[in-house]
Amino acid sequence: MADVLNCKHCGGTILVTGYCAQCGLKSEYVNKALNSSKYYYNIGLDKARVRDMSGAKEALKMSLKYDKMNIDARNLLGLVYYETGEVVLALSHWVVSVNHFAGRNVAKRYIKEVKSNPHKLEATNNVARKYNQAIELVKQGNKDLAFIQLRKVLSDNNKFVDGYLLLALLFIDEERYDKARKALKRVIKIDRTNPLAVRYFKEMGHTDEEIMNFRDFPEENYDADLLFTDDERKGYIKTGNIDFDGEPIPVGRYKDINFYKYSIAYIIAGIVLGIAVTWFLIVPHRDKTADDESRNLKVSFSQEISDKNVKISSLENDVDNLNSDLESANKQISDLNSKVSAYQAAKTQALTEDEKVRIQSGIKKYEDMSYDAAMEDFDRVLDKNENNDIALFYKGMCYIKQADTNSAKQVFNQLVSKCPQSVYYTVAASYADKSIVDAANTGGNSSLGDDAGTGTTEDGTTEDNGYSIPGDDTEGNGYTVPGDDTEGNGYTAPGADTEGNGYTAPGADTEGNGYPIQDNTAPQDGIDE
Amino acid sequence: MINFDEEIKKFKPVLELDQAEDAIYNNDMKDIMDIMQEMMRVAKETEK
Repeated sequence: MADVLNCKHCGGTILVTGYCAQCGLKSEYVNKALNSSKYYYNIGLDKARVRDMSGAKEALKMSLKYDKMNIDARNLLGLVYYETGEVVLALSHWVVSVNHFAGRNVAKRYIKEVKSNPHKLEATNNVARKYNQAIELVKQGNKDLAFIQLRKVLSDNNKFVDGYLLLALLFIDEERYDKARKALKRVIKIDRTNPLAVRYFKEMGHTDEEIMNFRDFPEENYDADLLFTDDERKGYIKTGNIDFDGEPIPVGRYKDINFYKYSIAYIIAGIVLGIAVTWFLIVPHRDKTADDESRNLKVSFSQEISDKNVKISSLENDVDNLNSDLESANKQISDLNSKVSAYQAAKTQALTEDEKVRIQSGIKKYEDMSYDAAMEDFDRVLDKNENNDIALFYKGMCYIKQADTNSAKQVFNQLVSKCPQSVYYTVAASYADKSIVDAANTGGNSSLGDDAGTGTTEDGTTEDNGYSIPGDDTEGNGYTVPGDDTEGNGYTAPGADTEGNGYTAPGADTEGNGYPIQDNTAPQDGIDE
Repeated sequence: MINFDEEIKKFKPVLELDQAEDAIYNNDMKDIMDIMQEMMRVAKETEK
Protein backbone atom coordinates (compact mmCIF):
# COMPACT_ATOMS: atom_id res chain seq x y z
CA MET A 1 0.00 0.00 0.00
CA ALA A 2 2.91 2.26 -0.66
CA ASP A 3 0.92 4.22 -3.19
CA VAL A 4 -1.50 5.47 -0.60
CA LEU A 5 1.17 6.92 1.51
CA ASN A 6 1.99 9.69 -0.93
CA CYS A 7 -0.38 12.03 -2.62
CA LYS A 8 -0.61 11.34 -6.35
CA HIS A 9 -1.28 14.97 -6.99
CA CYS A 10 1.55 16.69 -5.11
CA GLY A 11 3.62 13.79 -3.71
CA GLY A 12 2.96 14.83 -0.13
CA THR A 13 2.34 12.48 2.77
CA ILE A 14 -1.13 11.05 3.22
CA LEU A 15 -2.37 11.49 6.72
CA VAL A 16 -4.41 8.93 8.68
CA THR A 17 -7.50 10.93 7.93
CA GLY A 18 -6.89 10.28 4.24
CA TYR A 19 -5.97 13.86 3.43
CA CYS A 20 -2.70 15.00 2.00
CA ALA A 21 -0.57 16.89 4.46
CA GLN A 22 0.78 19.11 1.72
CA CYS A 23 -2.05 19.91 -0.70
CA GLY A 24 -4.88 19.13 1.71
CA LEU A 25 -6.80 17.07 -0.85
CA LYS A 26 -8.38 13.86 0.10
CA SER A 27 -6.54 11.04 -1.58
CA GLU A 28 -9.74 9.30 -2.48
CA TYR A 29 -10.86 12.29 -4.53
CA VAL A 30 -7.49 12.65 -6.07
CA ASN A 31 -7.49 9.05 -7.17
CA LYS A 32 -10.98 9.44 -8.48
CA ALA A 33 -10.00 12.48 -10.51
CA LEU A 34 -6.92 10.74 -11.90
CA ASN A 35 -8.94 7.69 -12.86
CA SER A 36 -11.53 9.86 -14.56
CA SER A 37 -8.79 11.63 -16.46
CA LYS A 38 -7.39 8.34 -17.64
CA TYR A 39 -10.87 7.16 -18.54
CA TYR A 40 -11.49 10.13 -20.78
CA TYR A 41 -8.01 9.84 -22.20
CA ASN A 42 -8.81 6.30 -23.26
CA ILE A 43 -12.02 7.46 -24.86
CA GLY A 44 -10.17 10.23 -26.64
CA LEU A 45 -7.56 7.78 -27.83
CA ASP A 46 -10.18 5.43 -29.18
CA LYS A 47 -11.94 8.25 -31.02
CA ALA A 48 -8.70 9.56 -32.44
CA ARG A 49 -7.89 6.10 -33.76
CA VAL A 50 -11.14 6.06 -35.76
CA ARG A 51 -10.51 9.64 -36.87
CA ASP A 52 -13.31 11.02 -34.74
CA MET A 53 -11.35 14.13 -34.12
CA SER A 54 -14.16 16.17 -32.65
CA GLY A 55 -15.05 13.41 -30.19
CA ALA A 56 -11.38 12.93 -29.34
CA LYS A 57 -10.98 16.61 -28.69
CA GLU A 58 -13.91 16.64 -26.28
CA ALA A 59 -12.75 13.52 -24.46
CA LEU A 60 -9.18 14.74 -24.17
CA LYS A 61 -10.28 18.13 -22.95
CA MET A 62 -12.35 16.38 -20.35
CA SER A 63 -9.37 14.27 -19.39
CA LEU A 64 -7.31 17.40 -18.88
CA LYS A 65 -10.05 18.92 -16.78
CA TYR A 66 -9.68 16.04 -14.35
CA ASP A 67 -5.90 16.09 -14.44
CA LYS A 68 -4.09 18.85 -16.23
CA MET A 69 -0.82 16.99 -15.63
CA ASN A 70 -1.92 14.10 -17.85
CA ILE A 71 0.90 14.33 -20.34
CA ASP A 72 -0.42 11.67 -22.69
CA ALA A 73 -3.80 13.34 -22.93
CA ARG A 74 -2.21 16.71 -23.62
CA ASN A 75 0.13 15.34 -26.25
CA LEU A 76 -2.72 13.50 -27.97
CA LEU A 77 -4.86 16.61 -27.92
CA GLY A 78 -2.03 18.53 -29.60
CA LEU A 79 -1.79 15.80 -32.19
CA VAL A 80 -5.50 15.99 -32.90
CA TYR A 81 -5.27 19.74 -33.30
CA TYR A 82 -2.33 19.28 -35.65
CA GLU A 83 -4.28 16.78 -37.73
CA THR A 84 -7.20 19.13 -38.13
CA GLY A 85 -4.90 21.92 -39.25
CA GLU A 86 -4.74 23.93 -36.05
CA VAL A 87 -0.96 23.85 -35.75
CA VAL A 88 -0.58 26.75 -33.35
CA LEU A 89 -2.92 25.17 -30.83
CA ALA A 90 -1.08 21.90 -31.21
CA LEU A 91 2.24 23.61 -30.56
CA SER A 92 0.92 25.37 -27.50
CA HIS A 93 -0.26 22.08 -25.96
CA TRP A 94 3.03 20.38 -26.72
CA VAL A 95 5.00 23.23 -25.21
CA VAL A 96 2.88 23.08 -22.03
CA SER A 97 3.37 19.32 -22.00
CA VAL A 98 7.16 19.67 -22.17
CA ASN A 99 6.96 22.33 -19.47
CA HIS A 100 5.11 19.94 -17.16
CA PHE A 101 7.35 16.98 -17.86
CA ALA A 102 10.78 17.55 -19.37
CA GLY A 103 11.80 13.88 -19.34
CA ARG A 104 11.10 11.44 -22.12
CA ASN A 105 8.26 13.37 -23.66
CA VAL A 106 7.10 12.72 -27.21
CA ALA A 107 6.06 16.37 -27.44
CA LYS A 108 9.74 17.30 -27.79
CA ARG A 109 9.90 15.33 -31.02
CA TYR A 110 6.67 16.88 -32.29
CA ILE A 111 7.97 20.40 -31.65
CA LYS A 112 11.28 19.59 -33.24
CA GLU A 113 9.67 18.20 -36.36
CA VAL A 114 7.40 21.22 -36.77
CA LYS A 115 10.22 23.70 -36.22
CA SER A 116 12.73 21.80 -38.35
CA ASN A 117 11.01 22.93 -41.54
CA PRO A 118 10.87 26.74 -41.46
CA HIS A 119 9.13 26.88 -44.82
CA LYS A 120 6.32 24.67 -43.64
CA LEU A 121 6.02 26.58 -40.39
CA GLU A 122 5.76 29.84 -42.33
CA ALA A 123 3.18 28.27 -44.63
CA THR A 124 1.20 27.16 -41.56
CA ASN A 125 1.27 30.69 -40.24
CA ASN A 126 0.07 32.00 -43.60
CA VAL A 127 -2.80 29.51 -43.52
CA ALA A 128 -3.95 30.80 -40.17
CA ARG A 129 -3.62 34.42 -41.25
CA LYS A 130 -5.50 33.95 -44.53
CA TYR A 131 -8.22 31.93 -42.82
CA ASN A 132 -8.77 34.74 -40.36
CA GLN A 133 -8.85 37.20 -43.27
CA ALA A 134 -11.41 35.00 -45.02
CA ILE A 135 -13.62 35.07 -41.94
CA GLU A 136 -13.41 38.84 -41.82
CA LEU A 137 -14.15 39.09 -45.54
CA VAL A 138 -17.20 36.87 -45.21
CA LYS A 139 -18.46 38.95 -42.34
CA GLN A 140 -17.94 42.06 -44.48
CA GLY A 141 -19.86 40.47 -47.37
CA ASN A 142 -16.83 40.04 -49.69
CA LYS A 143 -17.49 36.41 -50.45
CA ASP A 144 -15.51 36.38 -53.69
CA LEU A 145 -12.39 37.53 -51.91
CA ALA A 146 -13.13 35.04 -49.17
CA PHE A 147 -13.24 32.28 -51.79
CA ILE A 148 -9.84 33.37 -53.06
CA GLN A 149 -8.34 33.36 -49.60
CA LEU A 150 -9.86 30.00 -48.78
CA ARG A 151 -8.50 28.55 -51.97
CA LYS A 152 -5.02 29.63 -50.90
CA VAL A 153 -5.63 28.31 -47.40
CA LEU A 154 -6.74 24.87 -48.53
CA SER A 155 -3.98 24.67 -51.14
CA ASP A 156 -1.41 25.17 -48.39
CA ASN A 157 -3.11 22.91 -45.84
CA ASN A 158 -5.52 20.39 -47.25
CA LYS A 159 -6.45 19.07 -43.79
CA PHE A 160 -7.69 22.34 -42.39
CA VAL A 161 -11.17 21.32 -41.22
CA ASP A 162 -12.37 24.79 -40.33
CA GLY A 163 -11.43 26.00 -43.78
CA TYR A 164 -13.46 23.28 -45.46
CA LEU A 165 -16.43 24.00 -43.19
CA LEU A 166 -16.32 27.71 -43.98
CA LEU A 167 -16.06 26.91 -47.68
CA ALA A 168 -19.01 24.53 -47.44
CA LEU A 169 -21.02 27.20 -45.71
CA LEU A 170 -20.24 29.66 -48.52
CA PHE A 171 -21.22 27.10 -51.16
CA ILE A 172 -24.45 26.33 -49.35
CA ASP A 173 -25.17 30.02 -49.15
CA GLU A 174 -24.72 30.24 -52.91
CA GLU A 175 -26.77 27.07 -53.30
CA ARG A 176 -23.88 25.22 -54.86
CA TYR A 177 -24.59 22.11 -52.94
CA ASP A 178 -22.40 19.83 -54.99
CA LYS A 179 -19.39 21.86 -54.07
CA ALA A 180 -20.49 22.10 -50.50
CA ARG A 181 -20.94 18.36 -50.49
CA LYS A 182 -17.42 17.78 -51.73
CA ALA A 183 -16.03 20.07 -49.09
CA LEU A 184 -18.01 18.34 -46.37
CA LYS A 185 -16.92 14.95 -47.60
CA ARG A 186 -13.36 16.00 -47.09
CA VAL A 187 -14.22 17.22 -43.64
CA ILE A 188 -15.67 13.93 -42.58
CA LYS A 189 -12.71 12.14 -44.07
CA ILE A 190 -10.49 14.02 -41.66
CA ASP A 191 -12.97 14.20 -38.83
CA ARG A 192 -15.57 11.45 -39.16
CA THR A 193 -18.03 12.85 -36.69
CA ASN A 194 -17.55 16.51 -37.17
CA PRO A 195 -20.86 17.81 -35.85
CA LEU A 196 -20.96 20.84 -38.11
CA ALA A 197 -20.36 18.76 -41.20
CA VAL A 198 -23.01 16.28 -40.19
CA ARG A 199 -25.42 19.10 -39.59
CA TYR A 200 -24.72 20.66 -42.96
CA PHE A 201 -25.20 17.29 -44.64
CA LYS A 202 -28.55 16.95 -42.97
CA GLU A 203 -29.49 20.46 -43.94
CA MET A 204 -28.80 19.50 -47.54
CA GLY A 205 -31.20 16.60 -47.23
CA HIS A 206 -28.82 13.71 -46.70
CA THR A 207 -29.92 10.93 -44.44
CA ASP A 208 -27.82 9.43 -41.69
CA GLU A 209 -27.24 6.39 -43.87
CA GLU A 210 -25.90 8.51 -46.67
CA ILE A 211 -23.70 10.34 -44.25
CA MET A 212 -22.44 7.00 -42.97
CA ASN A 213 -21.64 6.02 -46.55
CA PHE A 214 -19.77 9.27 -47.10
CA ARG A 215 -17.92 8.60 -43.92
CA ASP A 216 -17.07 4.96 -44.63
CA PHE A 217 -16.10 5.47 -48.26
CA PRO A 218 -14.37 8.81 -48.33
CA GLU A 219 -12.87 10.07 -51.53
CA GLU A 220 -9.09 9.85 -51.84
CA ASN A 221 -8.46 13.08 -53.63
CA TYR A 222 -7.60 16.04 -51.45
CA ASP A 223 -6.75 18.51 -54.20
CA ALA A 224 -8.30 21.74 -53.02
CA ASP A 225 -8.34 23.22 -56.53
CA LEU A 226 -10.98 20.72 -57.53
CA LEU A 227 -13.35 22.47 -55.19
CA PHE A 228 -12.98 25.72 -57.09
CA THR A 229 -13.02 24.51 -60.71
CA ASP A 230 -16.15 24.91 -62.73
CA ASP A 231 -17.60 21.52 -63.53
CA GLU A 232 -19.43 22.77 -66.66
CA ARG A 233 -16.26 24.09 -68.19
CA LYS A 234 -14.42 20.88 -67.46
CA GLY A 235 -16.90 18.83 -69.48
CA TYR A 236 -15.33 19.22 -72.90
CA ILE A 237 -16.67 15.99 -74.42
CA LYS A 238 -20.32 15.72 -73.58
CA THR A 239 -21.24 18.02 -70.80
CA GLY A 240 -24.76 16.72 -70.68
CA ASN A 241 -23.62 13.24 -69.67
CA ILE A 242 -21.55 14.39 -66.71
CA ASP A 243 -22.90 13.53 -63.33
CA PHE A 244 -22.08 16.57 -61.28
CA ASP A 245 -23.29 14.92 -58.16
CA GLY A 246 -21.15 11.85 -58.64
CA GLU A 247 -17.62 11.13 -57.63
CA PRO A 248 -15.08 13.65 -58.81
CA ILE A 249 -12.54 12.50 -61.35
CA PRO A 250 -9.17 12.34 -59.67
CA VAL A 251 -6.62 14.38 -61.58
CA GLY A 252 -3.74 14.22 -59.23
CA ARG A 253 -2.69 14.48 -55.66
CA TYR A 254 -1.33 17.43 -53.87
CA LYS A 255 2.05 16.75 -52.43
CA ASP A 256 4.13 18.81 -50.14
CA ILE A 257 7.19 20.15 -51.78
CA ASN A 258 10.26 18.46 -50.46
CA PHE A 259 12.50 21.45 -50.10
CA TYR A 260 15.44 19.35 -49.01
CA LYS A 261 15.30 17.26 -52.13
CA TYR A 262 15.08 20.36 -54.27
CA SER A 263 17.81 22.00 -52.26
CA ILE A 264 20.17 19.18 -53.21
CA ALA A 265 19.06 19.58 -56.81
CA TYR A 266 19.69 23.31 -56.61
CA ILE A 267 23.16 22.70 -55.15
CA ILE A 268 24.01 20.25 -57.92
CA ALA A 269 22.65 22.66 -60.53
CA GLY A 270 24.71 25.46 -58.97
CA ILE A 271 27.86 23.36 -59.08
CA VAL A 272 27.23 22.45 -62.71
CA LEU A 273 26.53 26.09 -63.53
CA GLY A 274 29.71 27.14 -61.73
CA ILE A 275 31.77 24.59 -63.65
CA ALA A 276 30.18 25.73 -66.89
CA VAL A 277 30.92 29.37 -66.13
CA THR A 278 34.48 28.47 -65.19
CA TRP A 279 34.89 26.42 -68.34
CA PHE A 280 33.32 28.82 -70.80
CA LEU A 281 34.19 32.21 -69.31
CA ILE A 282 37.12 32.07 -66.94
CA VAL A 283 39.30 29.48 -68.68
CA PRO A 284 39.13 31.16 -72.14
CA HIS A 285 39.88 34.52 -70.54
CA ARG A 286 42.84 33.03 -68.75
CA ASP A 287 44.04 31.38 -71.97
CA LYS A 288 43.63 34.67 -73.82
CA THR A 289 45.64 36.43 -71.16
CA ALA A 290 48.37 33.82 -71.43
CA ASP A 291 48.37 34.15 -75.24
CA ASP A 292 48.65 37.92 -74.96
CA GLU A 293 51.52 37.59 -72.53
CA SER A 294 53.34 35.12 -74.78
CA ARG A 295 52.71 37.37 -77.79
CA ASN A 296 54.06 40.40 -75.97
CA LEU A 297 57.02 38.33 -74.88
CA LYS A 298 57.66 37.24 -78.46
CA VAL A 299 57.43 40.85 -79.67
CA SER A 300 59.86 42.04 -77.02
CA PHE A 301 62.24 39.18 -77.80
CA SER A 302 62.00 39.91 -81.53
CA GLN A 303 62.80 43.55 -80.91
CA GLU A 304 65.70 42.56 -78.72
CA ILE A 305 66.96 40.14 -81.36
CA SER A 306 66.69 42.81 -84.07
CA ASP A 307 68.59 45.25 -81.84
CA LYS A 308 71.24 42.62 -81.28
CA ASN A 309 71.44 41.94 -85.00
CA VAL A 310 71.91 45.64 -85.72
CA LYS A 311 74.59 45.79 -83.08
CA ILE A 312 76.24 42.67 -84.51
CA SER A 313 76.25 44.16 -88.01
CA SER A 314 77.77 47.39 -86.69
CA LEU A 315 80.37 45.39 -84.81
CA GLU A 316 81.11 43.41 -87.97
CA ASN A 317 81.60 46.67 -89.82
CA ASP A 318 83.90 47.79 -87.05
CA VAL A 319 85.78 44.52 -87.36
CA ASP A 320 86.10 45.02 -91.11
CA ASN A 321 87.35 48.56 -90.59
CA LEU A 322 89.78 47.37 -87.97
CA ASN A 323 90.97 44.61 -90.27
CA SER A 324 91.52 47.10 -93.05
CA ASP A 325 93.32 49.36 -90.56
CA LEU A 326 95.33 46.37 -89.46
CA GLU A 327 96.25 45.58 -93.03
CA SER A 328 97.29 49.16 -93.66
CA ALA A 329 99.19 49.15 -90.38
CA ASN A 330 100.87 45.90 -91.36
CA LYS A 331 101.74 47.43 -94.67
CA GLN A 332 103.19 50.45 -92.92
CA ILE A 333 105.03 48.14 -90.55
CA SER A 334 106.48 46.23 -93.48
CA ASP A 335 107.47 49.50 -95.13
CA LEU A 336 108.98 50.74 -91.93
CA ASN A 337 110.74 47.41 -91.47
CA SER A 338 112.20 47.65 -94.94
CA LYS A 339 113.26 51.19 -94.19
CA VAL A 340 114.68 50.11 -90.87
CA SER A 341 116.56 47.28 -92.56
CA ALA A 342 117.85 49.73 -95.12
CA TYR A 343 118.79 52.06 -92.36
CA GLN A 344 120.53 49.27 -90.52
CA ALA A 345 122.36 48.36 -93.68
CA ALA A 346 123.35 51.93 -94.18
CA LYS A 347 124.28 52.28 -90.59
CA THR A 348 126.74 49.42 -90.99
CA GLN A 349 128.49 51.57 -93.51
CA ALA A 350 128.73 54.46 -91.16
CA LEU A 351 132.24 55.63 -90.90
CA THR A 352 134.24 56.63 -87.96
CA GLU A 353 135.94 60.02 -87.82
CA ASP A 354 139.23 58.40 -88.61
CA GLU A 355 137.80 56.69 -91.66
CA LYS A 356 136.18 59.91 -92.82
CA VAL A 357 139.50 61.64 -92.54
CA ARG A 358 141.20 58.84 -94.45
CA ILE A 359 138.54 58.97 -97.17
CA GLN A 360 139.04 62.74 -97.49
CA SER A 361 142.68 62.19 -97.48
CA GLY A 362 142.36 59.51 -100.14
CA ILE A 363 140.14 61.71 -102.25
CA LYS A 364 142.59 64.58 -101.87
CA LYS A 365 145.41 62.26 -102.96
CA TYR A 366 143.26 61.02 -105.83
CA GLU A 367 142.69 64.57 -106.96
CA ASP A 368 146.40 65.15 -106.65
CA MET A 369 146.76 62.09 -108.82
CA SER A 370 148.68 60.25 -106.11
CA TYR A 371 146.75 57.13 -106.86
CA ASP A 372 148.81 54.62 -104.98
CA ALA A 373 148.79 56.70 -101.84
CA ALA A 374 145.12 57.30 -102.30
CA MET A 375 144.45 53.55 -102.66
CA GLU A 376 146.37 52.91 -99.48
CA ASP A 377 143.99 55.18 -97.63
CA PHE A 378 141.01 53.56 -99.25
CA ASP A 379 142.32 50.07 -98.51
CA ARG A 380 142.73 50.94 -94.90
CA VAL A 381 139.12 52.11 -94.82
CA LEU A 382 138.01 49.00 -96.64
CA ASP A 383 139.90 46.79 -94.19
CA LYS A 384 137.46 47.88 -91.53
CA ASN A 385 134.48 48.56 -93.75
CA GLU A 386 134.87 46.52 -96.86
CA ASN A 387 131.61 47.65 -98.41
CA ASN A 388 132.11 51.37 -98.09
CA ASP A 389 130.93 52.63 -101.45
CA ILE A 390 133.01 55.83 -101.40
CA ALA A 391 136.22 53.97 -100.74
CA LEU A 392 135.32 51.36 -103.33
CA PHE A 393 134.35 53.98 -105.90
CA TYR A 394 137.52 56.02 -105.56
CA LYS A 395 139.62 52.91 -105.39
CA GLY A 396 138.06 51.79 -108.66
CA MET A 397 138.65 55.22 -110.13
CA CYS A 398 142.30 55.02 -109.04
CA TYR A 399 142.58 51.77 -110.94
CA ILE A 400 140.95 53.45 -113.92
CA LYS A 401 143.41 56.29 -113.75
CA GLN A 402 146.20 53.74 -113.57
CA ALA A 403 144.63 51.98 -116.57
CA ASP A 404 144.20 48.82 -114.55
CA THR A 405 140.71 48.10 -115.82
CA ASN A 406 140.55 44.54 -114.54
CA SER A 407 141.22 45.57 -111.01
CA ALA A 408 138.87 48.52 -111.48
CA LYS A 409 136.13 46.18 -112.74
CA GLN A 410 136.54 43.91 -109.73
CA VAL A 411 136.22 46.88 -107.42
CA PHE A 412 133.19 48.22 -109.26
CA ASN A 413 131.68 44.75 -109.38
CA GLN A 414 131.99 44.64 -105.60
CA LEU A 415 130.43 48.12 -105.32
CA VAL A 416 127.54 47.21 -107.63
CA SER A 417 126.84 43.96 -105.85
CA LYS A 418 127.29 45.18 -102.30
CA CYS A 419 126.05 48.74 -102.53
CA PRO A 420 123.15 48.85 -104.95
CA GLN A 421 121.75 51.93 -103.36
CA SER A 422 124.92 53.93 -103.56
CA VAL A 423 125.02 57.24 -105.45
CA TYR A 424 128.00 55.82 -107.22
CA TYR A 425 126.05 52.86 -108.42
CA THR A 426 125.30 54.20 -111.86
CA VAL A 427 128.86 55.15 -112.57
CA ALA A 428 130.11 51.94 -111.07
CA ALA A 429 127.65 49.94 -113.12
CA SER A 430 129.13 51.43 -116.27
CA TYR A 431 132.47 49.88 -115.40
CA ALA A 432 131.26 46.69 -113.81
CA ASP A 433 130.49 43.42 -115.53
CA LYS A 434 127.05 43.33 -117.10
CA SER A 435 126.20 40.03 -115.45
CA ILE A 436 126.92 41.51 -112.07
CA VAL A 437 124.77 44.50 -112.87
CA ASP A 438 121.92 42.26 -114.06
CA ALA A 439 122.21 40.12 -110.98
CA ALA A 440 122.11 43.23 -108.80
CA ASN A 441 119.05 44.52 -110.65
CA THR A 442 117.16 41.25 -110.38
CA GLY A 443 118.12 41.01 -106.75
CA GLY A 444 115.43 43.51 -105.81
CA ASN A 445 117.06 46.67 -107.04
CA SER A 446 115.44 46.85 -110.41
CA SER A 447 114.49 50.44 -109.89
CA LEU A 448 118.16 51.24 -109.95
CA GLY A 449 118.60 49.48 -113.20
CA ASP A 450 115.85 51.60 -114.71
CA ASP A 451 117.71 54.65 -113.58
CA ALA A 452 114.63 56.61 -112.98
CA GLY A 453 116.35 59.09 -110.79
CA THR A 454 119.75 59.39 -112.29
CA GLY A 455 118.87 59.17 -115.95
CA THR A 456 121.99 57.10 -116.59
CA THR A 457 121.76 54.41 -119.22
CA GLU A 458 123.45 51.11 -119.19
CA ASP A 459 125.89 51.91 -121.89
CA GLY A 460 127.31 54.83 -119.98
CA THR A 461 125.76 57.49 -122.09
CA THR A 462 124.37 60.40 -120.28
CA GLU A 463 121.03 61.98 -120.61
CA ASP A 464 119.80 65.32 -119.54
CA ASN A 465 119.80 64.46 -115.92
CA GLY A 466 122.76 66.55 -114.77
CA TYR A 467 124.87 63.54 -113.98
CA SER A 468 128.05 62.37 -115.73
CA ILE A 469 130.83 60.08 -115.16
CA PRO A 470 133.83 61.52 -113.40
CA GLY A 471 135.97 63.83 -115.35
CA ASP A 472 133.44 64.40 -118.06
CA ASP A 473 131.39 67.38 -117.15
CA THR A 474 130.23 67.76 -120.71
CA GLU A 475 126.91 69.26 -120.00
CA GLY A 476 127.87 72.30 -117.99
CA ASN A 477 125.34 71.51 -115.30
CA GLY A 478 127.52 72.37 -112.41
CA TYR A 479 128.14 68.83 -111.41
CA THR A 480 131.40 67.20 -111.91
CA VAL A 481 132.86 64.02 -110.85
CA PRO A 482 136.16 64.11 -109.11
CA GLY A 483 138.75 65.55 -111.32
CA ASP A 484 136.54 68.37 -112.38
CA ASP A 485 137.01 70.84 -109.68
CA THR A 486 134.59 73.53 -110.76
CA GLU A 487 134.62 75.33 -107.50
CA GLY A 488 138.33 75.54 -107.12
CA ASN A 489 138.34 73.69 -103.79
CA GLY A 490 139.70 70.52 -105.20
CA TYR A 491 136.61 68.48 -104.33
CA THR A 492 133.22 68.47 -105.80
CA ALA A 493 130.40 66.19 -104.98
CA PRO A 494 126.64 66.20 -105.65
CA GLY A 495 124.78 68.53 -103.41
CA ALA A 496 126.07 71.03 -100.92
CA ASP A 497 128.82 70.51 -98.45
CA THR A 498 126.69 70.97 -95.39
CA GLU A 499 129.30 69.94 -92.96
CA GLY A 500 132.00 72.22 -94.24
CA ASN A 501 134.30 69.23 -94.49
CA GLY A 502 134.60 69.41 -98.22
CA TYR A 503 132.44 66.31 -98.65
CA THR A 504 128.82 66.21 -99.55
CA ALA A 505 126.54 63.43 -100.63
CA PRO A 506 123.26 63.53 -102.47
CA GLY A 507 120.36 64.36 -100.21
CA ALA A 508 120.47 65.60 -96.68
CA ASP A 509 122.82 64.38 -94.04
CA THR A 510 120.23 63.68 -91.48
CA GLU A 511 122.45 61.97 -89.03
CA GLY A 512 125.14 64.64 -88.99
CA ASN A 513 127.76 62.02 -89.64
CA GLY A 514 128.53 63.24 -93.11
CA TYR A 515 126.74 60.31 -94.62
CA PRO A 516 123.16 60.77 -95.74
CA ILE A 517 120.42 58.17 -95.85
CA GLN A 518 120.25 56.77 -99.33
CA ASP A 519 117.40 57.88 -101.50
CA ASN A 520 118.17 56.80 -104.98
CA THR A 521 114.93 58.15 -106.33
CA ALA A 522 116.20 61.73 -106.07
CA PRO A 523 119.96 61.74 -105.88
CA GLN A 524 120.22 64.77 -108.12
CA ASP A 525 118.62 67.15 -105.63
CA GLY A 526 120.86 70.14 -105.54
CA ILE A 527 123.16 68.63 -108.12
CA ASP A 528 121.85 70.51 -111.11
CA GLU A 529 122.26 73.69 -109.29
CA MET B 1 -32.46 25.70 -42.57
CA ILE B 2 -29.03 27.10 -42.25
CA ASN B 3 -28.84 30.73 -41.26
CA PHE B 4 -25.65 31.92 -42.78
CA ASP B 5 -25.18 34.85 -40.47
CA GLU B 6 -25.75 32.77 -37.41
CA GLU B 7 -23.47 30.06 -38.68
CA ILE B 8 -20.68 32.40 -39.52
CA LYS B 9 -20.62 33.61 -35.94
CA LYS B 10 -19.58 30.15 -34.89
CA PHE B 11 -16.36 30.41 -36.83
CA LYS B 12 -13.66 31.82 -34.56
CA PRO B 13 -10.28 33.00 -35.71
CA VAL B 14 -7.51 30.49 -35.20
CA LEU B 15 -4.29 31.35 -33.44
CA GLU B 16 -1.45 32.64 -35.54
CA LEU B 17 2.17 31.80 -34.84
CA ASP B 18 3.03 35.08 -33.13
CA GLN B 19 0.08 34.55 -30.81
CA ALA B 20 1.32 31.15 -29.66
CA GLU B 21 3.47 32.59 -26.91
CA ASP B 22 0.55 34.43 -25.39
CA ALA B 23 -1.61 31.35 -25.69
CA ILE B 24 0.95 29.31 -23.81
CA TYR B 25 1.46 31.84 -21.04
CA ASN B 26 -2.28 32.34 -20.68
CA ASN B 27 -2.94 28.62 -20.52
CA ASP B 28 -4.31 28.73 -17.03
CA MET B 29 -6.57 25.78 -17.33
CA LYS B 30 -7.60 24.44 -13.95
CA ASP B 31 -8.35 20.82 -13.34
CA ILE B 32 -10.74 19.45 -10.79
CA MET B 33 -8.03 19.19 -8.14
CA ASP B 34 -7.28 22.89 -8.45
CA ILE B 35 -10.97 23.54 -7.97
CA MET B 36 -11.11 21.34 -4.88
CA GLN B 37 -8.09 23.11 -3.41
CA GLU B 38 -9.73 26.42 -4.11
CA MET B 39 -12.96 25.26 -2.47
CA MET B 40 -11.07 24.09 0.62
CA ARG B 41 -9.18 27.36 0.79
CA VAL B 42 -12.40 29.35 0.58
CA ALA B 43 -14.08 27.13 3.16
CA LYS B 44 -11.18 27.62 5.60
CA GLU B 45 -11.32 31.34 5.09
CA THR B 46 -15.06 31.42 5.79
CA GLU B 47 -14.55 29.36 8.93
CA LYS B 48 -12.05 31.92 10.17
